Amino acid sequence: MAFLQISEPGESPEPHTRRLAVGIDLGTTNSIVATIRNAVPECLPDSNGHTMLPSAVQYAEGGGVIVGEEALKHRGDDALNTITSVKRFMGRSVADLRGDAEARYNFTTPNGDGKGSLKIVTRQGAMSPIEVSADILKALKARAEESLGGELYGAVITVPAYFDDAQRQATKDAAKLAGLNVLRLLNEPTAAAVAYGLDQHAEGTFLIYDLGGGTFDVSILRLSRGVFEVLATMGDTNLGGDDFDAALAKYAFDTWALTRALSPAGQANLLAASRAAKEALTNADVATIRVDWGCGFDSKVDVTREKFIELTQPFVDRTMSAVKRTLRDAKLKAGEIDGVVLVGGATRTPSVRAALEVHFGKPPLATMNPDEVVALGAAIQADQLAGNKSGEGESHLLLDVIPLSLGLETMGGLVEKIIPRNSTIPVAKAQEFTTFKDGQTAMALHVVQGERELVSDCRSLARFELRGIPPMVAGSARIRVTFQVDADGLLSVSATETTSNVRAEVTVKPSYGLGDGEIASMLQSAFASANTDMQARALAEARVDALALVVALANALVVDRALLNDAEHAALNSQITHLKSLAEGNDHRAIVRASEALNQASTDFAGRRMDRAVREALTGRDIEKII
Amino acid sequence: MNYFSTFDLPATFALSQPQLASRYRDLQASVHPDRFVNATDAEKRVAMERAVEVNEAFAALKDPVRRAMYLLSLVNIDGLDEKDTSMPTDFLIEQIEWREGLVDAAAKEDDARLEEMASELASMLASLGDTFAAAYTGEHFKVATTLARKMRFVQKLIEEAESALADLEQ
Repeated sequence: MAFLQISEPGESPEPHTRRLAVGIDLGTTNSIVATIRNAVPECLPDSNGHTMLPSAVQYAEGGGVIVGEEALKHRGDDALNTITSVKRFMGRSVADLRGDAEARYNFTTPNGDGKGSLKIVTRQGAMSPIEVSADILKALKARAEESLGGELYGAVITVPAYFDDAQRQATKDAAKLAGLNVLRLLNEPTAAAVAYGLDQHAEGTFLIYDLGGGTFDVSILRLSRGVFEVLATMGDTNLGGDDFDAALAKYAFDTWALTRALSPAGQANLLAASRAAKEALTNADVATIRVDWGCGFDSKVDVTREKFIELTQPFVDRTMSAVKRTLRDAKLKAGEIDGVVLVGGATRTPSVRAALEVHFGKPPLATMNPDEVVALGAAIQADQLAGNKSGEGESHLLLDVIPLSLGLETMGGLVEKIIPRNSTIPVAKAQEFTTFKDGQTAMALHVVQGERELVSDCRSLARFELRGIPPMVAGSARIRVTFQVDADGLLSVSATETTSNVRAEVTVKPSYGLGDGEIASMLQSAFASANTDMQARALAEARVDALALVVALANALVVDRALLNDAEHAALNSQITHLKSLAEGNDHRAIVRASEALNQASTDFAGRRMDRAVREALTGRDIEKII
Repeated sequence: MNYFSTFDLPATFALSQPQLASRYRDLQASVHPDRFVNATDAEKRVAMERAVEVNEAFAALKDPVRRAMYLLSLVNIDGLDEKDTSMPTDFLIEQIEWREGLVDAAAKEDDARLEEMASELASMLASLGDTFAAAYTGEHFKVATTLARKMRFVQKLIEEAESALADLEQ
């Protein structure tokens, strides 16, 4: 954590130390870390000059964990212990698996009963997708810290826009496990829009078409005076370039008329050969899939570009139908889109570009590297969220949405939607429910996500119970359930019986995520840090946070002195002085308590400052209009 | 604080949508939590609450049916009151005919017809909105309430048409 420079209250603080912040695109096939250096976003390369880190982790003999290109080399000879495309398993259970993914690894579950989050059996034990992702993130963190020469303050991690709550939570857990301070989970197409919009000074309505290795997103954004407003988003978290490879592999397999199923190693080799052929077909008219099975035996088949287009057409069609639906959700016609921005390596496929050109009547925009644009946008956002931008003029604002509706199960297995999809976040909604039976004292709440009307067709996120409802006649209790989605797109739910004030609350941590305790214990065992180290760290953090609060508040007291009467001003000043003296001591709990108290005491002042800012925003607008 | 005063706009049905959208962006630009990364926790909390309020107000005002219902609520009328659902018979019969038409077009996978119906319904919604605006301004709240309910019916039909079209695109 970076330390802040402190000036006397009343003096304008010096610009604080620049905090090291990165954006990370945690991709299905490749991951990238980027940062802002000299006001320019750039991807950080490894020692070989490669910016892309293959999202592959090998759990090697002897306990080593190998990440990236080196791990990928063992996809053939150590297939079961070399994990690729782990992003497809994030926030998923064994029951969610389908198709060939199942053949690749040995899966298990925490209790071996097929329920809960899936784990992949390796020679180093059963690994959750969160742990595998954390190993990729650790490699990127190490790369960034070496390259930037210091400890990272925080990171923005990108996720597919269509990720549900379970997948987002799993991603955040992976980042925490890797020791990263998560500044924000940012939707990939939104990140791309930021990088593209700021680079090209674009204004207008843009459609982001993001076809990655394993996920597909389409988002429509309005870019206006530094505000990036997402109007609608749609996607498929199980569609991507990997599917193109698999289609080619199946074609080869069928052509060769192989009589028995491939071993994991054979399958990995065939997929690698298929991917190479796909990449060759971007520019060539014909490519060869060739697999050496060992023992002097090999197979090969030629694939023409026409054949490739035919094989991948169903996938391209699926993406185009999502494009049409997103336009419909945004209430826009294709002609009203000012530009289509391509994101993700799979958008190099010529038939994808052709389909978009036909639909929009103009070629898609490919001015930025489709592999890097997401990480670059994340880096820009990370820089801003780390507080490295001071002037209002240079900062931008993202208004993103939730991709899938959130609701509760009601009688008969039906879903009552509380927050509809494409709602701008942050968002909070409350709805009242009542009891079904006379004297009912508890109520089970089942939180689901999805668009379908039946609970069984939606994703179950969490179940919790509100107990202690006073016995009443059926229908007379008033249970107010509040859904709140924060800027990361993560949901928390609380329920209160309003006549008696009985309260229950959950942050939705589905059975697919990790509990905070689990993360803490994993972190502890990872660092094997002594208790005193932990305490020293807690004290250091409490001090930094307290002093940041003192600086911010002292400054606000000078700027907005007029918003307080003398007594209020004196009261806040005395609490500031008290907190400053505590921060010189060693009692981290006292510092935290006093910080909380000061925050509480300054809430009214914060509200008044906000009201003044709002008045200025509205008046400023009118002046602009008059001119 | 009501939704209209949030945007410093008069409480009328006939809002300029571009003006509303532009004020929404200006407001979010000054209250959004991302503007307060170096602020105190108290300020972050207040920013979060305000951003939620502004989003809620914008969502309510940009949708014509929600805007009409909200205007009625400002004069203490619950347009969604389930105890009072009486609607003119001819209007209800018309609704049934529309619904049958939609189901029929969807069954025939006639997307051109569905598009046509969706656009007819959209102009119907717009003209109901104009009439509502006049009735509300003239303080004929009973008439306005019936019109708002009609708008809600028509909007449901539009949603059905859109969802049938979306299904055909699958």
